[in-house]
Amino acid sequence: MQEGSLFANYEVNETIYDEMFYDNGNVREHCRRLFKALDGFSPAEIASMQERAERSFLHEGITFAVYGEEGAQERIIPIDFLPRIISAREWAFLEQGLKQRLAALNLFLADIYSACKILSDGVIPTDLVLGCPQYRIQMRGVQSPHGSYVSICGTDMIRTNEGFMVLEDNLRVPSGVSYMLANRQAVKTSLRDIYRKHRVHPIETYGELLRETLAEMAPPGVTDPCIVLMTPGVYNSAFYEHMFLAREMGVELVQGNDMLVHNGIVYMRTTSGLRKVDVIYRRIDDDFIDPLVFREDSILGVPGLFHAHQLGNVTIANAPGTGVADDKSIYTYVPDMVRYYLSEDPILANVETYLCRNREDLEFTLDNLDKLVVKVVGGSGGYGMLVGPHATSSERDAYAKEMRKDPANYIAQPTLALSCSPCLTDDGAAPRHVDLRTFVLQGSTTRLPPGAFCRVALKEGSLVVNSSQGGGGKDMWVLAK
Amino acid sequence: MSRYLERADYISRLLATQFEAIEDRPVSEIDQSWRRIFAALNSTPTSGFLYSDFDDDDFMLTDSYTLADELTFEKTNSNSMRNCIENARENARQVRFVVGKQIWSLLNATYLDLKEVEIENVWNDEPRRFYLDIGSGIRRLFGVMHGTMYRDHGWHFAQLGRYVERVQLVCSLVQAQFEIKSSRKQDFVQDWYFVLQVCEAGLAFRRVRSGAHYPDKIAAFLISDARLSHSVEYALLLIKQSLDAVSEDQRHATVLEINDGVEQLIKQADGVMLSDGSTSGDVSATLQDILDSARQLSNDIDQAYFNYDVASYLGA
Repeated sequence: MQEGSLFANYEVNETIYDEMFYDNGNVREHCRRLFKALDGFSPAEIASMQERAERSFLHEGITFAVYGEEGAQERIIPIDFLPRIISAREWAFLEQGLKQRLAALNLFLADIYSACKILSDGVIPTDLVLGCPQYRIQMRGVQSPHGSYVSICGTDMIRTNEGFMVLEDNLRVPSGVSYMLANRQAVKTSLRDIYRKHRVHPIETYGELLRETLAEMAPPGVTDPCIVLMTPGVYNSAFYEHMFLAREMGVELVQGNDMLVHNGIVYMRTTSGLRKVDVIYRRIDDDFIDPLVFREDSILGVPGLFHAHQLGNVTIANAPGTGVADDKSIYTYVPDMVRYYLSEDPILANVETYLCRNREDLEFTLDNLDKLVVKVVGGSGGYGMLVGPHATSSERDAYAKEMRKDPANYIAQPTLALSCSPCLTDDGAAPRHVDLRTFVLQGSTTRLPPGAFCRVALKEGSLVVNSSQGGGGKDMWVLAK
Repeated sequence: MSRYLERADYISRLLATQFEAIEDRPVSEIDQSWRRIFAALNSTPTSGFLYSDFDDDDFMLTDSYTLADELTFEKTNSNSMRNCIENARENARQVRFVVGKQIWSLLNATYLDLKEVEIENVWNDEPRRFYLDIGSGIRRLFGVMHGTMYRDHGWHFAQLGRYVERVQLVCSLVQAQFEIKSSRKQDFVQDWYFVLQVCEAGLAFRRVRSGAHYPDKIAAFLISDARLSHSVEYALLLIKQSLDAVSEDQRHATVLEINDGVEQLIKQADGVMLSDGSTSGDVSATLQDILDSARQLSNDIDQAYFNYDVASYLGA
């Protein structure tokens, strides 16, 4: 590595998997072309491209809101300009595993809202499922077209020295896909020659794939469905994404008060009168969908909407009640679901997880708080999480006190050495921890757009990649061969 | 969105013209002009009018500083230029899925630029240039909308918002001018040229009129000349065009009433100017009629196309 070049100060940590380098500092085969091309830039050149992209994100309003931050309503997710590369072979493995996993999760949802065989067969503790706050009793007996309760699944994956692992499944309203596309657009524009030479799988048709998937979810007999995207409104943290996806799909973006239900049929108001709605891609939590069934104080929902869904006159995607399958306790059992429903061995491994509802696991967790990551079962976005090794002893004590009050509300996982990928810093490229969120779509067929929102912990040593906690994003290139 | 943008554009022209006047016009005229501006916007300054000592230029400048701030940046003034652009952006945000990326980026950039500026920066630099630049930015935005938007209901409602606003603004400005009592004939003519300038009509007026420019002739030109893009009649014709487009598939009574009402307004506006360019009847009263009808038109459109009673569609 030449002095003054981008990688001049790059130090490979031998104990952590590096996405670009082997332990000995040699560049991985599938990254060699990229390394060579990037090393021709100075850090200042890359920084300038990055700044330009971030400015354009701000102008284009590619932003998200952080709740509770006054005056910071619109923030961009910082982009790191050095792409992460996944080889064609690695992606083929992930694709197989992710499709298998979603198939099992959908079979699980179909089962627990009908015969509950997996519970009666003792594969998963009944109380864990039926006692889960995300289990919606109202969904009992409600069938989903093609058995697809989860049409859009956001699966977070990490890589360690042991290989890829699933960190969590997001089965309710997974977000991040718009940033995946925005990052691609920005990097492709600035590094166009490099991008071109890499034969990267395109991801720009995501909107089209999503629309096809949602069209397949239309109630039986509807050939040209009216699809809408339901948003809580402009103040939602992911509003940019809602708008973006509606635009990419060419469908209406609606709020609850734009729709009404009459005789079990959902209509939306248009400037030409009322129009029947067939499929609702909801980006709103279960609780707020319908005040007659869920939270009665919801002003975001549509009275009677759930009844229309029950009757099969409209499809809500993802279906209400899918959150039970992404609960952090139930996550532990996904490999068992794969074996139970598909009679296959799970392709993708889970992260080892301790369920604090079990006495032994709780004791182990409390004894090893300084080594573990502890999460609230129903939490998301990195909130309510304790990263043991980075916490002070008083923070750990306070957390342990809370855990003892309600052990079932917590799970613990070992502090994993998430893989690192080169990121731009003030000293040139340096390793930073990354994960990736893939987006799997399931209607009558399953589709996996060849890309992911690669999240990066921008602070040195940090393992927290969540955008709400200071994380950023980077483009991820899936090579065609 | 376009309604707020039209208003912001109009304020930018009012203020650009005013700052041109500040450079060389007598203090009394500038004071008068501020009154006209506020009357044209149908508002009063938060602090009330600061009656200036006409012999004291510094005093006058202090007033102008405060008043320009109020119309440009004041948070509590819903009609301030910054609030108009912020509101336009909020509206655009809600319909971004039908608004092109280019339109959004231009609007957002205008908003972000304006967010960073205070009246002090404007005052100490070139105020007139600042307002002209803002106006140019907004018109560029309208140009991109015109060049890129699909001509569906979204486009036509944007047109309706813009031109209903224009009718109201031009009527209010001309009406405000009628109410100004200038003491000297020279000022009187100058005042009317101010109005022409705000309506981007100075050049066109000079080209089509000869002889004495009686105020009525100028008023008639601004109301009835359909070739002038800032005339009332021009705006009404575009309103009619868009109403015809959005009502194509729904010919129920409310909609037909609205369309008929606009046709009446066009006739009314057209009738103001006689063939020799002079006016017929009480121009001020006609203007007030059109202004009242335009205000009502906004509500009627809202009721007919957005906040309608769904029962009629459900056959209840």
